[in-house]
Amino acid sequence: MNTAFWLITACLLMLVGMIWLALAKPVHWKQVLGAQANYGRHPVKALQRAGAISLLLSALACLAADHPSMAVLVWIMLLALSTFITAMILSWRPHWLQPLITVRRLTQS
Amino acid sequence: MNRLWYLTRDSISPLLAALMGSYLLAWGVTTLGISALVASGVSFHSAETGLLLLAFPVCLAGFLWAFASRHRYRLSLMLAAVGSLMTAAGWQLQALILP
Amino acid sequence: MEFASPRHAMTWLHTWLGLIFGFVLMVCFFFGALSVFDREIDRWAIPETRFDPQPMPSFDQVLLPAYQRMQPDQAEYDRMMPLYHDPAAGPMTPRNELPVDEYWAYTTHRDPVLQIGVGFRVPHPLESVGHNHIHANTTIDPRTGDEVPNSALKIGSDWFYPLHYSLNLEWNSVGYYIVGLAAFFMLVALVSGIWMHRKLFRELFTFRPWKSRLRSILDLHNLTGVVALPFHFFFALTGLIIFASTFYMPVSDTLLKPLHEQQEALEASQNGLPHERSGIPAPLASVDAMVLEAKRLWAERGMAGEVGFLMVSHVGDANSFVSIYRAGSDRVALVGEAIHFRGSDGSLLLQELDHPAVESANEFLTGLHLQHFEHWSLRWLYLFGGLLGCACIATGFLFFIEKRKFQHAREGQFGSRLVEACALACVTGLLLATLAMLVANRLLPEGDQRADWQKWIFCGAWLASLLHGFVRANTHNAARASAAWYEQVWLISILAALAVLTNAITTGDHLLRTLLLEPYMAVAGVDLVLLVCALGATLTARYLQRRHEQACQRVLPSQPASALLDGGAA
Repeated sequence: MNTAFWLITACLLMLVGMIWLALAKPVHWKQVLGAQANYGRHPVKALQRAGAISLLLSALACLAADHPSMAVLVWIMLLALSTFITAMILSWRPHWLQPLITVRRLTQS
Repeated sequence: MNRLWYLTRDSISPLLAALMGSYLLAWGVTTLGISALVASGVSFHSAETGLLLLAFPVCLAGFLWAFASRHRYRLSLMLAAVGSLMTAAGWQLQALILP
Repeated sequence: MEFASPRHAMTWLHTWLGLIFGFVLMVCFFFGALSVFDREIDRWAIPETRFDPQPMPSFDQVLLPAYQRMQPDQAEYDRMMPLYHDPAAGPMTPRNELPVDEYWAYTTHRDPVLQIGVGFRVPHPLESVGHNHIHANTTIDPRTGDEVPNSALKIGSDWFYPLHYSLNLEWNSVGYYIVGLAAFFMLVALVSGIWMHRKLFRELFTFRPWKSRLRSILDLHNLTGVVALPFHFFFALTGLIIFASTFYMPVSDTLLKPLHEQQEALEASQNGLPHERSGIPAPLASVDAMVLEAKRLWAERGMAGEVGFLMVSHVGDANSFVSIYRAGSDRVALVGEAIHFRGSDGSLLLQELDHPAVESANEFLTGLHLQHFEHWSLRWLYLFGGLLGCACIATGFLFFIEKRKFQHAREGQFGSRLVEACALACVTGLLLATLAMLVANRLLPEGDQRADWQKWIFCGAWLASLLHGFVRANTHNAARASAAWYEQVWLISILAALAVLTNAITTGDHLLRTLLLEPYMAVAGVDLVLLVCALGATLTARYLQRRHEQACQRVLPSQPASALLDGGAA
């Protein structure tokens, strides 16, 4: 039960982290915000930092779930999965990601 | 017939040369590495395991280097020569270790 | 052939090695991905073995009687005995009189049935130092000790699994070498691919389906290749490492064999595990007692566990010893923490506690490939990684075809259409062969030839897919893809649904039962994946067929190909 909780946490953290890293790139930032992207600053550094921290936390969650040797593998495979999911959301349903940016903006202001 | 000749000359032979050169190099590194490590007191299985982990990255690097180089055949030949020399050295070292 | 720069050389390598070895790699990746669930496919294919995984059974009560019933394999005896036997010592020992030298048993947390084997000794060997064994291997039901009949083919672990590393080409182990070469060129293709792809990180998340067909295929190729780059790289590399000492770099079996044997004997004298038989007969003490002691010792070190691998060496001799390995369910390494006992009295000989770092590294690398650990999420992630690899290779083929088809059509060349037919056999053909085999498994009547028939149907379906690809290859119309694509995808969806249906009818284990009434996830999982496959194939087939029909309307086949190029390129 505990393992399942940590694994799900790791998944979510990884996915959110990857999305933030993707949004740090101007192309994807525009893709998600559309015309809105022209208003306001694009917080590249903040997004990158948030993404990196999220990935790191996800690694910690993997370590909490499994033996370290196994956690490494889970983390690397989650990296692949969430990058793929992120790319797919960005190309088919970019507007789904708008809430994530709003959250970032709130925490920033 | 002409096409086959061009295919062999332009594609197959440089590939084979780079492959042979890098494989012989990896073989030489493995042979000499194992016998040198055993000579210095490492257990045979640890030495074998370690060198086999190294062998394919060495082979890969050798292959890419040889193929991408301007002097493809010369470099392949050199890798093959170095590999053969290392194999011979490893073989000699084995003869020294064995009673 | 001169290249303007190393980057051009890399592009050339990536294109041509990727194309030619891509067909082999597709087999490796697809069946490798299926092998993640090989035991589950076995359960699906052999309904008699659909019960819960069992721990290692009692040696004294179950295993020993089973071992004593086993006889050396006839084919192996015929092949190997003349090579091992020293004719100067007299005539060959008859097959059923060979003395036993070792017993082994291996199980994992996913195995209801147990693999066991006996190694028989050649009494008068030509080379006394070598490992002269004629084997007998079988699978038993660990609850009773009864043999699982040989006619029941383990489709997962005896067909799909060996297919991904040996192509099931037994002759002179040629399949292993082809796969080894393909794995090496996979590494080459990965490195050269990174070298060519300048915007690795900038375009990490990029897939633009709305752009040109060529662009979106390339996006998908890069995406599937890059996101799982560590997975692709390490699976190709560890695959090579697993077979390095046997096939690809057999240094210690050839050139360094004398040193290897001397060091092995030296090690045996140091660690107290006898390397040779003594020649003095001695009975075997209770192995069950040794297993209990081993479990106690593991628990004492805070790593209580089950037995994964058990082996008795030099059976019947005073030098006999029993090795008990802990199952690595919670680790990446397959088995470990070996404890060895003297066979004749059960006294402790040796505990292997700490490994040298390099051997732990090797156990990690091979363990991550062979994955006998208990971690279902990671197993699914591996399946995903393997399928990403397949997608990467398949999009590579499509890119090759898409890039050249107009030029080839203009020049009347057959090249890109040939590649398309081969790609069909390697993408949809693999799925068709797999599904045809599963359906055949459920429909073929009982009998000795059942296993062979399933294999023939697999090969036949695969060949049929290739031939169909060639028949449907259209050389005259560059703008549209071969109609064989959607036809085969339709067939996939039908066969996948049929497999689920036949399983439900012939065994009564329909999804309602395996999911809810009497949960049995191995079979339910295979059925669910088949259903997802059927659904996905239906959607894909409809999409492909619609696109094909649009292309047909846009471009009438009666017009010359050169006149159509502008319309097709849009």
